[in-house]
Amino acid sequence: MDLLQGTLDMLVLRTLLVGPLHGYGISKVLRSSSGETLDIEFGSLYPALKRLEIKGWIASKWETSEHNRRAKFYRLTPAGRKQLRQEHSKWAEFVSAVTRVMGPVPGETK
Amino acid sequence: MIWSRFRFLLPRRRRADERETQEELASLKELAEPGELGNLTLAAENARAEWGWTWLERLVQDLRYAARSLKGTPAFTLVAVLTLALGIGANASAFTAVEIFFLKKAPVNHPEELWQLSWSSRKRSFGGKSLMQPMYDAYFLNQGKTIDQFSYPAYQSIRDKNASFSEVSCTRNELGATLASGNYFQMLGVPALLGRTFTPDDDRIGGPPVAVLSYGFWQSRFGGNPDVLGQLITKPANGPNFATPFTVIGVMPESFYGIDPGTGGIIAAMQPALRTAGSLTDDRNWNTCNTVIARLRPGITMERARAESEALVSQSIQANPPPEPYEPPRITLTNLARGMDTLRTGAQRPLLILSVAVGAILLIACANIAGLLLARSSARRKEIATRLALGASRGRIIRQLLTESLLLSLLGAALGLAIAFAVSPQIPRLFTRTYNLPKFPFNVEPDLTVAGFSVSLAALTAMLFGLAPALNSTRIDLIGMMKNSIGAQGRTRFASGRAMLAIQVGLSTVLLMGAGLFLHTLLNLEAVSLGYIPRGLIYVTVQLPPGHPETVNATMDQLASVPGISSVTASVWPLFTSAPDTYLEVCVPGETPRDFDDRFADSDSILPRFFETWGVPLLRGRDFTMADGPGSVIINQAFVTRYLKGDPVGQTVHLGPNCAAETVVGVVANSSDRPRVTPRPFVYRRWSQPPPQITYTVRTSGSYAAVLPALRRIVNDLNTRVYDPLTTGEQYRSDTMNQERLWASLLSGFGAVALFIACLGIYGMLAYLVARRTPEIGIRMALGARQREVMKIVLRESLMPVTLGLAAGLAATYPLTRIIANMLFGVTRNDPWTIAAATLALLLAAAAAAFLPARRATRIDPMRALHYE
Repeated sequence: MDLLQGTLDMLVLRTLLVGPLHGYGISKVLRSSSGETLDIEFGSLYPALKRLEIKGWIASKWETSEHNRRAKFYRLTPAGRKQLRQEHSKWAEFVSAVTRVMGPVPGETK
Repeated sequence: MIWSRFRFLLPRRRRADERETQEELASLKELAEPGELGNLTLAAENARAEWGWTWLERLVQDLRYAARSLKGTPAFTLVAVLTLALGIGANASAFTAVEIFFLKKAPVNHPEELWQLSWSSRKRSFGGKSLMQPMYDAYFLNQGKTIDQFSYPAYQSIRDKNASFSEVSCTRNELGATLASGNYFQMLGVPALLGRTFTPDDDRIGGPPVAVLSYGFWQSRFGGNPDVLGQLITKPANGPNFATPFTVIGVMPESFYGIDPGTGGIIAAMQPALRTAGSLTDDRNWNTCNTVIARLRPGITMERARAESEALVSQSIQANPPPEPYEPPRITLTNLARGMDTLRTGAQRPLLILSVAVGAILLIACANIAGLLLARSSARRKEIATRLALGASRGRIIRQLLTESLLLSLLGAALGLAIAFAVSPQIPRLFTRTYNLPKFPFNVEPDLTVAGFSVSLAALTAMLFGLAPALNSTRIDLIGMMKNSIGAQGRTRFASGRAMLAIQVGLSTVLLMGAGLFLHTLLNLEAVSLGYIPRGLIYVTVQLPPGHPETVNATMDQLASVPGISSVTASVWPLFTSAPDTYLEVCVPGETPRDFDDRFADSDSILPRFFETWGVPLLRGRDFTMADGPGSVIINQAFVTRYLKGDPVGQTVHLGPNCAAETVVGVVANSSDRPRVTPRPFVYRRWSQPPPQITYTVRTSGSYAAVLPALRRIVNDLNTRVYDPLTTGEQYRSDTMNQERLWASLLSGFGAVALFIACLGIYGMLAYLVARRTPEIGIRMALGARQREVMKIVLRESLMPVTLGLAAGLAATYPLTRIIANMLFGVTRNDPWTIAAATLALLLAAAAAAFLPARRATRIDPMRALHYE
């Protein structure tokens, strides 16, 4: 399933709301929490991480992972938290607007 | 956040980031299933792009590549950069001049708030019988122009009663000085560099006459000496002494040239300088204020200010109405943000010629480099084909090639700016003759705007000469290239090379024609008879020593006694000087003058032997004798033609404001210092008493060197002010042709540069052609072609573009030379001799340029050439 432009950043931020994760972890969480619907290529995810870091919405730190391996963990910064809140409400607005326009699935109405 | 982005430009920071990315990706790879993460190199690259500097990286990459590739062909790079430097340098210099005249704002405080007042009216009896009446009818009203002059009471009424302007000033140009109302500098809002400017307190009748000097005048007259304050200044840059000397109270900064850059270097407070207070109260003298300028208050509309001024002027006329009916003046306001334009009007034509010439040079340079690049691109076809084959996109390679062009252009622009810095101090010479200023009022130096102009020009030229070759050289048949054959595509590329050559030749022709026309003009000017004999003539203009009228005769005797002097005379002015105070009204009963020029003759007061000494032929009647008093005049042929019928000698003419009757005793031939100008009517009168300024003229039969020391001694012993130093007739003559000489040399220089560049182009194209056709020529020679035939093959290649270019250039010259038509003399724009000379010069140069490659072709060794294939 393709993502809408700009949605990936929001999803990444949302994923990190729970707690710090490394790049692979983010990818896995995204897949599982979307019920395996969203399979985001790592080739797109990784630049998104860099982008968010440059914008100062997430920060990274080398830590030891659950399997005792070193990995770079990303966490949400306060600015990122604020950004997520904004994006979230914008998203909600967007969804409800689109829903209103679309109405029920055609052919199923009486 | 922005900072972190810039930090990424630091190499150290970038290396660290790169390392960290690699490390992170490696660690993640271990966590994930094999292949799960996809193309990690691409991911890293895309991540790097997030920094937003990819374009810069590519640019740096391209620039490095371009620099390397230019370094690899130093001869090409040198020629291209030098050619561009000439083109861009010439344009930057010309733009420096354009900027000064047309783009700079007047150097005063908020110039956009300044407005000049002028007016129009069809019945102007309120202006009295002053000189302007008939003159303006013909001059201005028919052309819909407005009149700038105001009476002082009208000016005062606007200044004192208006609510729209914060300050209103009145200025008046006297000989050599600007007289200004006391508030002039307050209105302009410019402080003095040295001392102070004058104020309304200084501006009162009977007060001490004070003046402020321009920086240029201070430099030229006082050598920039700060002790100038308090000194008396008795004489302007040119012309006779002031009626009253001025005390210098200030010097203006260098950037200041007032509102009108065409005016001279002395600005004096008006009222102390006026000879009588009469003109300040005279309602009928609408000649007192030459210029009225006002500063509009913020928030007031121009229309409101205009209407108010109009009402105030009407009121002021109404206060003392003229007996005859009149139409109240209708006021017009003109904004002065860019200053007034006396200088600008005169500069238009020289600037236009200059722009056309430098534009042509730049185009030639572009065509030349495009030609060179086309030739060069064939040499690089393998390199480009390889890169294309390896997967570089065509766009990327075009960008790369354009970067190379841009680099060339920028190098050319840098060098060109240096040229502009060296050349621009000479720019004023193009204009000073027109204005006769003590010093050009501007600082002529390229500034940031000029630098910006040059860089933009460089970018533009890079596109101009780089785009076609770049497109051309990336249009490659890869398969064909790999097979290493010289495909048919070479032919089309060659056609564009020929077109470039034709362009260069055509533009060079235009410049050569311009140069030829000016050179021809110069020759004609030097050959034409001006109605006097310059050879052997020496004159000097001095101030009459006060209180000693008899010294004139004594000096004449002294001059006559110098061995080698054959004739001596004296007059007020040198022959045919036309100055405002030499105008003499000619009264013709029952005739309305057509215009100002028609109403006035020029005049001079002279002593006997004037015509003999200057070498002006006496056509009828006789010369003055010492016995002639006032009432006898000698006139020139132009006067006879215009005003008289029948035998002029003995006729009565009516001259001067009172139409006094005077008798013609002789007629002389017309003489003029400007061959282009139709000679004007001239009246010579015998002077009754020595005038305040005297020109002594002598004629020597021998060499100047033999008499000049003695003459110099005599002038020194006069112990008086010298207005014009000892000048020989030839010097005088050549001074009048300065501008023609300058244009002739300037355009010859441009023509030579253009020709040189075009020759480089011809040489480059043919050399390339010979290199390309070496195998073919080799085969021909192997089959028995002789050297002459081989040479012919090569020369024929250049013949077509040169002929085409020449024809197009000659055709383009005719309409273009319209702008110089009235600067030419004795030569028409399609003068066959000039065309022949320009054609010959071009063909010779082209032949010389073609010879070397042609000779090389004849020396091709057939064996080696065939081996090459």
